[in-house]
This record gives sequence, C-alpha cells and structure tokens, in this order.
Amino acid sequence: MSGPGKNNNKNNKDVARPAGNNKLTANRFEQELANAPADVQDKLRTLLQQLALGAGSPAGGAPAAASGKEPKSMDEHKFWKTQPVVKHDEVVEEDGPIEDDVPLDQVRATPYPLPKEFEWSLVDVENDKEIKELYELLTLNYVEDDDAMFRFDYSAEFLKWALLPPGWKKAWHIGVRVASNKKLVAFISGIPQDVRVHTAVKRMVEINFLCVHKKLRSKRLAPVLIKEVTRRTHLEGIFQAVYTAGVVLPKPMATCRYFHRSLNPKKLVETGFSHLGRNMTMARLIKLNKMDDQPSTPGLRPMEEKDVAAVAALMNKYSAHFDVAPYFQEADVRHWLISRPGVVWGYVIENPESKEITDFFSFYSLPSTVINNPKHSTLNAAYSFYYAVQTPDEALSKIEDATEREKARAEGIKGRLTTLMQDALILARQNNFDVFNALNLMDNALFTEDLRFGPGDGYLHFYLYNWRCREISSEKVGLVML
Amino acid sequence: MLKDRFNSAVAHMNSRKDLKLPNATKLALYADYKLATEGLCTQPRPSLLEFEKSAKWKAWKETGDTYTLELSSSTTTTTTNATSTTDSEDADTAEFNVSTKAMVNYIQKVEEGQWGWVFDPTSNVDVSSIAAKLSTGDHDLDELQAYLGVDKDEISAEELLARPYVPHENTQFDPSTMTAAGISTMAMPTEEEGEDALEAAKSGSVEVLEKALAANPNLVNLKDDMASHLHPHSTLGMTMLHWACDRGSLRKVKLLVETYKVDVNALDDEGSTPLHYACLSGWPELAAYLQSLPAVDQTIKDNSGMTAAEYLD
Repeated sequence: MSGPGKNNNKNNKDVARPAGNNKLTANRFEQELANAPADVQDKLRTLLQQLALGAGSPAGGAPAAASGKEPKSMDEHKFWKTQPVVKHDEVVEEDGPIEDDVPLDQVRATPYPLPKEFEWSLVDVENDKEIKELYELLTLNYVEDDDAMFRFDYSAEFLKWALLPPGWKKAWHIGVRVASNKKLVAFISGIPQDVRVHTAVKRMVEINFLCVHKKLRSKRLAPVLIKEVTRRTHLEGIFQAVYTAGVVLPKPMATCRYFHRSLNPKKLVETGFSHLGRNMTMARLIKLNKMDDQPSTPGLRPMEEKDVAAVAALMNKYSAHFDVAPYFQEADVRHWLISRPGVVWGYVIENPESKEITDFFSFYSLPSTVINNPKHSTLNAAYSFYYAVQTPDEALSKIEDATEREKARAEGIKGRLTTLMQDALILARQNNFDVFNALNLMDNALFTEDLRFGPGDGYLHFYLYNWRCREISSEKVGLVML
Repeated sequence: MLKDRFNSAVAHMNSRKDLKLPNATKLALYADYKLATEGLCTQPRPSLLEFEKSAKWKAWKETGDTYTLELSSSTTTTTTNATSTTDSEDADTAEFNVSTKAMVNYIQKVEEGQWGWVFDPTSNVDVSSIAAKLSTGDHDLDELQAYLGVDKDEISAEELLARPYVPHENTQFDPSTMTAAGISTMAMPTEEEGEDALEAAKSGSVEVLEKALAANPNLVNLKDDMASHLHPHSTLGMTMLHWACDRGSLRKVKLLVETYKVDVNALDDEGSTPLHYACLSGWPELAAYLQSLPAVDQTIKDNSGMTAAEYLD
C-alpha cells in the first residue's frame, strides 16, 4: 500500500474506487436529506448501503464474495431456503421471530444421522489432547483458499477463552470424527449470550468455528452440523442465533469493513499484507506510522478483578447507543475483558483523583500463519474488542433533533476516544503486534482516519438466525465476535 | 441391503453382551428389533407382576404405536391430494414402513451408541438416505435430506484424507467454513498506469536496472521531479540510489555505486542521504555496506536534524 495516510484515503475516494464513489453519493444524500425525519433517513441509508455493497468489485478492493453479488449456487439456495433466515430480496419492516419457538417435546431427541463413516463426538475443550486436535483442525482447514498468503492461527488458549465463557455448554462443542480412525474432521460451536437487537433482549447462541476438513468438503457435512447445533440449541430452550461471515448469505443484518493500522509497516510489506505504492518510500511509510513509545492517558492501567462492576456498568451504558449489542453480566466482563497472557488485553482509565473508572478498552490476539514466506512465519494481529468512554449524557438529552444529537455525541467523544485508541495502538506495539485491526462498527469511524488506519479488502457480515431485524448500519453495531 | 445391515447390527449386539447398557437403551433396541422382525405387537399384555416381560411388551407396543402415528401423519400430509388410494393399501404401506423404520432406527441407535459395530464397507447403503425415503415425518430431517439429496460420493473419508488436497476450482458456495471471517489485508493502493524513468530502481529486478542503465547511463543522475499534488506521498529529489536504499537491494546499490560511481551523499528535498534511507527503512546490511565506503559522509543531518545512524533501530 502507499500509506494509510489521510491523502491516500482521499485519493482512493476521489479517483478509482467504486466503494469510495458510493460513499460520496451517500454523503451528498445525507446533506440534502439532513432535514428529513430520522426514520426516512435510516431507510435511505440502508438502501445506500445496499447500493454500495452491490457496486463493490475486486478492483475496488472488495473480494468477490463480499461484493454483494447474490450467490446463485443451487447448493446455497437449497440449504438456506429451508432455514429461518431473511431472504435476499426481503426488506424487513418490523423485528420479530421467523418461526415459533419449538416446544421441548417436539425437538428431535436424537442427533441427526451422519453419513455412515462418520460419528458425532463432543470435543472436550478443557482436555489438552482434544483442544490440540481442534486447534489443528482449525489451523489447517479454517481458511479455504490454499493460495491465500495467510491462515488464521488460533492458539489453544484462545480457543479455551472463546469456547468456555460463563454458561458454556459442552453439548455445543460439536465435533465429527471418522468412525474408523477417530480423526476429528469437522466442528461447530455455540456459546450462550444475551443480545439486544433494537429493543428486544434475547438469550441467543453465538455460532462460531464451523469448519470441515478441506479434503472432505464433498461429504457436505456443514448442513448437518448447522442442523445439529440448532437442535442442541433448541434443547436448551434457545431459538435465536447470531453469527458472522466473510461471505454474503441470506441476509446480513449489518455489513462492516475491516480497517488496519500498521504497527510494523516493513514486515507488513514483506509479508504481502500491505503494498508499497510505487511512489511511496519505505522510509516515509515507517515515519508515518511512528508512534510514541509510551501511552499518554493519566490513570491508564490493566483492568483488574476489582474493576469488574464498574466496567460492566460502563459497557452496558455505552452499548445502549447501538442497535445490536451484547448484554454483559459481571461474569461476562470478568471472562472477556480481564487480560489473559497472549489472548486478550483489557485496560481501564482510573481517574487519578476520584479513583473512579471512567473508560476502558480491550483488544485480542489472533495471529495468522504466513504461508510460504522466506523471512516471516507469523503475522501478529491485534483486533479491537470492546471499549467505552464517557458520553456527555446530560447535554445530549437537551437536544431534541436526533441527527443533531448524534452529531453532538460524536463531537463529544471523538477526542477522548482517539486518545484512548492511540494508547491501545502503542500498547499493542509494545506487545509485539504487527497490525491493529478494527471493523468500522461502534464508534470506530471516529478515530480510524486520524490514527492512520487504512481500509482493508475484507468485509464482515452479521447475521441473525430465526430473527427478522431491520437492517443496521455499521456504526450502530455494538457487537464484536471473535 | 438394509436387511443385511440390520442383521449385521443385530449380530454385533448379540456378541456384545458385555456392554452394560442402561435399561431404557436395551428396551428401545428390543422394541425396534421386535418391530423389524415381527411387526406390530399383537400379543396380550403380560401380567403386571412379570416386570421384565411387561416392560418389554410396553416398549414394543408403544414404539409401534408411535411409528404408526408418525408414518400415517406424514402419509396424510404428503398424500392429501391423492384420492385414489384405498384403505387397505394404506394399511399395507404402513405395516411395511413400521418394520423398515424400526430397522433404520435400530441401525442408527447401534451406530450412535458407538458400541464398535462396523458394517462391511463394500456396502454403499447410506442410512440417512434410506431414512429420507421412508418419509419419517421428521420435518427437519426431510429438509436436511432435501438439501443433501442422495450422496453420490462413493469415495471413503479415509481415502479422501489420504489423497493430496486439490482445491475446488469452481467457486460454488461452500458453507464448510461459513463462519470464517476471512483474513482482511490492506486494500491495494490506487495508482495511475505507466512507468517512470526511476521504475527500475524502485520495483524492477537488478537485471532490469542494468539494462536500463546500459541503454541510458544518464539515468543515474535523474532525480524525482513528480508534481507533489499528484503524488502527495512522494519525496522530491530522490535519486536512483535513494530508491535502491529504500527498497533494500544491496545488489542494486552496489551496481550504482561501483559501476556507475553515483554520488553516495546525494540529498533529496528532505536533506536525506541514501544512508538515511537504508537506516530508516531497516536494512542493517545495506547500511553497513554504505558505512564501509570512505566516500560516505555519516555526519550529514537531514532536515529533522537526525543523522542516519540515529534512525537505526
């Protein structure tokens, strides 16, 4: 890349990027419709977002799968048409379930049949041998494209963190083995989580780590895995699920774009993660991305057990602004946000005088294996996780116009948030990360440009299972999934 | 075929009397066995005092009733438009299906129980596809079968695992790693087409550079003069040597220095020497080479007041 700096971004928008052009269109529309009622504006934004997605192209940096072209494959159609999900051509006007809850006595009592040479096998995530089997399955098979330069490299500790949150269920760590040799060849998992979508709070299951051994894709195990995890979720009285994917399925409730902040620009260029433009010097790229050695916010320190209650309160108050967000109990905060070596980093800001916890932020580690690179074997990527800053609630409550209130809120938190995320970048650099990734969800768009994030070529789509949901714009997404 | 699998499973279970199965499991297997081999239960209820007999009779009878109900309800839903079927035909079909269904369920239980039963692999009958043909009344299962169809892939999982991996060429939708976010990398920068005279030093190979210089030796004295508004990130006044140092090519640097005797202390518009670029861009080997040359002035400070060595990490 020729530098994630301000000017370059502008270049991208102005000249040759379809996605950028759509952004301009969106901006002009927003200006012209500034006086329209808020709900009309929301609808238009949704439409514009769809347009922007549809116009994405490989040339614009969006991979074909994320470009919004509706997948027309028969397989996809055949499976998803049987599932309670929003159809591609459906526009949701009102939130609600797609099918009724299933009474327990009508839930299928036995596992779905597998092709005869396979057998179900729950994975004991707490068992070192079995977590290693899972780690190997995911590391070698979770990314399809063998030509890819990078492959996710989940650590065993990371998987334990991801799969054993408060309320975890062994029945939802579902493996498939080859019956004859017991080799683990497929996996799907769920974890329970209270999620608020617009105004409804639902106990949901977060589905993740669906993976079939790449040599066995012809056995079409994935639909059985999806059905089986659904059945096991129904057995626990849960009927809604949330999941994310890099591909377009029927039908995203929200679509976010990845942004990347170079911490080790030279390594990123050498691994092919970013590209040195012809007229960009390595020297300048390094200079542009230089940061202070130490964080600057007074009262910044790692989060501790004693901060849990304060952080939970901060988090839930801050999340109220978003249209989809998890509802964290104190146990969730303790699990997800207190630092674990090599997995997650959580920090709070403690007011030096009042000792009050005023803000927090966190990031987690998800390294990638660099495939076939003579110099580097691993890319250390930090991902922005949950955070919260103080919002000027009293002043905001006096503003009646919704658009004006949003604007005042953004102005009110932008400076503080940018300072905190700058510290997060510095801490990530201190911890030997090469790049800091963030989606354009929550309030991330307020700091990405100033902190020299560059747009990525990846998108992440958010989905709900058995829940119709009016489309949500990226900055109203308050949910981060691993 | 189904009968072979069933008989094999029964034989296996009979050989595994050592298994300490819970009573509920034993009764469920018993019921399926009786339904599969003798059909619906027509025997009189045994005395309530004969506990074991009574429990077995009850399992046989009730499971049969459940299967009949499931089959008839699914038959009704699927044949509401078919008016020509007679009652007797229906009854025959139901009777046949109860025993087949019981066989399938028996086999499935034995498989799911993982009691060590392996059917002769020459068989290619798939329980799940038989289950689908039976129209079990399990709506979810029907849906799944509608998606899966009949698996035509006869190659065993073990064999597939032993083969080298060949990525699928077609981009058919594959849900197998559906939840994977994909790994996002930096989007490609937008660049205008065309080459400039310094291209060989920037991104070409050493051979390309050699050729370009052989054709026009004056190139070594060329400096970047691109208008800054077109290239907001480019630094004016960079020579080929600056570029070669920035990109970290020792061979290009040696070619320029030793063959073409370029000015090793050339300054760009920021006051940086080639050595500044080598240090700042993190090429210690290259910096050491330049520092070993007597002609290189290591004391030069750039416009920020930094010597080259101060940029070395």
